Amino acid sequence: MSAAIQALLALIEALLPKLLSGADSALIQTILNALVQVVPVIIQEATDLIPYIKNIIASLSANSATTTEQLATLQALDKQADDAFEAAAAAQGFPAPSGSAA
Amino acid sequence: MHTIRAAAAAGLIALAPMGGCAQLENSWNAVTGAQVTIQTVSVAASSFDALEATATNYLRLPKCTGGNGPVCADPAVTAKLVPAVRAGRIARDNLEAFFQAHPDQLGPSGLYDALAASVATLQSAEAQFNMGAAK
Repeated sequence: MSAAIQALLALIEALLPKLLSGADSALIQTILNALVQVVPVIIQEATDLIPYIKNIIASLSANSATTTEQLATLQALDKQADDAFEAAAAAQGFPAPSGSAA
Repeated sequence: MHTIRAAAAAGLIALAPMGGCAQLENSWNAVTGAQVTIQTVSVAASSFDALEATATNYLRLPKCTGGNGPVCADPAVTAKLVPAVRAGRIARDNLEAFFQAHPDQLGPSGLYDALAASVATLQSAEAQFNMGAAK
């Protein structure tokens, strides 16, 4: 499944410049909805694909058509990789320091 | 060199009331050589993100107990990884915040150095302990 998701993410990444050249927030929302579906799966089962997601998130975040609400969703998605690391670290006996934002 | 920089920095601080903050910041950067572009930071941040993901995979392995085989997370390695990732994340987040607040400026090299150090530590650990195989 990882290979299939990777192919899909690579396709989205390759198409992003064309998609976003005349982007409206509705198109960004469509991509965002797909990310919301796929990110939890990637965090759990295919963390090596996280850089693809990060690149897509960065491209969407930098687009002027992205609304504030969409930006907040992107930031929440972005944070999931950090949260996944902290959960794994805590399970190994290295809990996040108190007051840590991660 | 440090003495020269310290003296120059002290001079800049003394001159602060004569100019704006931006001028002082630019002068400080010129004295310390503290300038990195957003492109340089983006490359390091991408490397960090990939390494953080690899580290996450490694930490998801069962903790090594001495009897549970070679595919496990060694507490000694974990003890190196965790602080490196946390330090790198802080530097990455601060650099990203800097470039969002100052889109047309060069970033502080101190934060970049911290991020680069984290990436170097993680790359070294990845190579030494074959962490890429942890999936």
